Amino acid sequence: MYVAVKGGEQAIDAAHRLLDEERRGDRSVPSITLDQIAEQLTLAVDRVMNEGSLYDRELASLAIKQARGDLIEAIFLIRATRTTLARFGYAEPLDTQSMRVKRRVSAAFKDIPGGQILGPTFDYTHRLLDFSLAGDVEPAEAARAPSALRSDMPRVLELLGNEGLMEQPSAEAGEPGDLTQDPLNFPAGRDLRLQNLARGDEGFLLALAYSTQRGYGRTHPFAGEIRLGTVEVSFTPEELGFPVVIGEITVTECEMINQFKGSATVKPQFTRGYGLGFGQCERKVMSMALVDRSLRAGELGEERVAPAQDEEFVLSHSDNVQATGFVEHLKLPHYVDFQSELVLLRRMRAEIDGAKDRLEAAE
Amino acid sequence: MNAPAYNFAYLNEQTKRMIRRAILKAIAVPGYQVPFASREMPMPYGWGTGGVQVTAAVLTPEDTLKVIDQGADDTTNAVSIRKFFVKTAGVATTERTEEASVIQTRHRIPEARLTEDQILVFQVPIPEPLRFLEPRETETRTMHALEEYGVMHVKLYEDIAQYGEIATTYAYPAKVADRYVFDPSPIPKFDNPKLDDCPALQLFGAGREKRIYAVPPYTKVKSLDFEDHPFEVQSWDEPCALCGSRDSFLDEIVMDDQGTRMFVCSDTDFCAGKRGDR
Amino acid sequence: MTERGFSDVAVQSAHAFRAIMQAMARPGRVLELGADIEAPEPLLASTAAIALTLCDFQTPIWLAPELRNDKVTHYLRFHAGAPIMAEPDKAQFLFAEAGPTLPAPDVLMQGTHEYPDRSATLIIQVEGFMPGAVALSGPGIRGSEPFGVTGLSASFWAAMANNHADFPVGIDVIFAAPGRVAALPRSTEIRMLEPA
Repeated sequence: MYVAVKGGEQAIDAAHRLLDEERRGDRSVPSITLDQIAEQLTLAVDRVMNEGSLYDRELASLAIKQARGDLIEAIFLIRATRTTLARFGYAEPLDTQSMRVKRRVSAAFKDIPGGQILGPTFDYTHRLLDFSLAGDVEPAEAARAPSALRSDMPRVLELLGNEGLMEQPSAEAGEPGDLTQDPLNFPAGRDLRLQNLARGDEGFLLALAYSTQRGYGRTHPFAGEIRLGTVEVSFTPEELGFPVVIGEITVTECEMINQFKGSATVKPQFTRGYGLGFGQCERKVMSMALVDRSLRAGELGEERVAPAQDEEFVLSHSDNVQATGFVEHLKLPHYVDFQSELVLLRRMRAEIDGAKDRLEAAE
Repeated sequence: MNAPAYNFAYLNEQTKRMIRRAILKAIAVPGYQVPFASREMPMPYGWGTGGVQVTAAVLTPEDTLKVIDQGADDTTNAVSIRKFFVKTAGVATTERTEEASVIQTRHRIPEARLTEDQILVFQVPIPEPLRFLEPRETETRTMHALEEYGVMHVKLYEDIAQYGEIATTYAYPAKVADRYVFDPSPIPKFDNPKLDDCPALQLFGAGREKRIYAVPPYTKVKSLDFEDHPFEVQSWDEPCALCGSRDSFLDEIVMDDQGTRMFVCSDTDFCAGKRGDR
Repeated sequence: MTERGFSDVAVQSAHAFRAIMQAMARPGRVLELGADIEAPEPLLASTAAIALTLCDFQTPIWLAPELRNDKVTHYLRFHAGAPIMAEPDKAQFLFAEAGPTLPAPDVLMQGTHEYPDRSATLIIQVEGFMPGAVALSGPGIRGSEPFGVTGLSASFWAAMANNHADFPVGIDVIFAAPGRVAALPRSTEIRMLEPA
């Protein structure tokens, strides 16, 4: 005799206890601390803050620990937390021109005013496993610049702008939108596209950006300037009426220079693609800048033929929290719908067999 | 670091107001999908975040909540969502359909006829019935605006040409109040007739796709069909092996390695009630 | 001193919303709307409850002249943070009394055929309800529902019948009476009854 299975609740509780145990791992190994994650897995923390849309190193570190290092799961935890936080308003726009620069490079010029500053980068490291890291050998102290860097590094793209070779940034009227507060509708302005890309999955943007380089919506890019450093965040409280500095954050900014043949009304000039993200995230902001430029195809009168130029496609599928939820929801029971399909399939097959039998009987 | 205290039913009041405004417009324009600024919830997108947000926005402390998935109260996701509301809203819960004032469901409508005092909240994965015929939101929005549903009829008719019948068995499209074609969520088409002229208010929440829509009480919901191929529901050759019901939706249970099967009610509360076992 | 809003926002707005939602889902049916809320004159407690349940900094509102005074505007700004508009066609929620200053439905935000939800909701503060003026039918109504509102003339019902004729665009109306609420969404068909 069949008895309907009960006990879902106990099963879930037991599964979660097992998860807790597996997360802890071998108890003879010390538990990892949030400080260790924040200080030594910095780029993982940066990615979680970026795609989680919340600048909080401590919460991001906690999320990484809780998620057992699964960054998309950690991003999801941060997003869910973000829902519960009180909102006081919007900060003033960041002024990245006055960034305290840690790294700043341009691929478009050999040298630039303010200098090429390599900073902390994997670039030019030979990707050979460093077995000294397996122990706890402390690295040598890094050399410091003899004098402070300029606090107003000129923008490479503006050097071109002075000559009229660079398009001016499109100044769209009105307050920028916020897709976390209003549902995203199409067509979306560049403000919402950039917000969507900033929250978008790094892997998805990387693949799209790569596809443009391989000819699916080619944009002829040059890395005009990539800069990493700290910027002040200001907020204007309603009751004060003037901005006050509330903190400082690390950001990475990428300004791409792209070819443009000009149009009936505009002389040939370079166009821009833009990327900005929390922490150090060059791969992310470079990908973002390439995709941003591709999504401007319509505005610049280019034919939209490639996935990276398709706004609805890109914006609807860039969010990894949405994507992972829907892909993984296939794990949920679907047996009612499956039963409906079984009933239909059996009947259709029976009808075909019945028709065949009738045909044979008639012969 | 301290754990935060959460508001009644988890969402902050501003989020609830935003959802409540969307619900009112959804009721005023039956079957039309109202965009809303869906929030990230502590369960994954695709696992009922739309339904959970709608339930959180309509729930009062006096409500008695029932949560089902596949018709059953004890399925894992139903248990998880029920626990979420017990924890964040402190509401009473029940497995009995007739005792519930709010029922959140995934993939089924209870077999028992609902009453005016009940609200049925559906979890919706893809709210747009035209999505698989036209992937672009800008296009489908225009089609709804112009009441241009020709592609849907063509698709259903192609089914008939190819298979001799309409091969859609769940998420079967229907027209609400003679105006909007809508997706009733992936309920089996067996449940479509229950949507029509239902005394309870029916609300639909799609969290990932950021849409809310509604079927008010006593509203005409007509499953799409053709005069020569009228809409019909699934049926089984045998009754429920547990309660003997012949008019409920049955799940197929594989009993052994040889593939022996039996059929039992998907609505576990309905089945238990028939057996006098609850 | 500004009147306080809900004594317990989460719970009381949930109760108020349930009443408003059921009223919208069952056009013409009069439901109880009691709320522990202070309201500045001449707002009814039920009107104030509707305002604080639905309005906030994201919803521009408009007040008819007879409801617009410093206490009311301060109350709505303080508790809801809602911007108060001078022009009725810019408002998402409008508050008025039954009478000559009632704005005509067709000058308010109608929504578009693509986005019919982007339309105004008109909250009319009334003395009470007296079935007999009209018979309502359509979604939310089993058969037909007799309905009437104190102080609303035939021209209002005619305007609302036109509003229905434009479905799916159009406005939706909520009636706030002392301790009670009813609604008339654009989906409702209106038939004038012969005066007795």
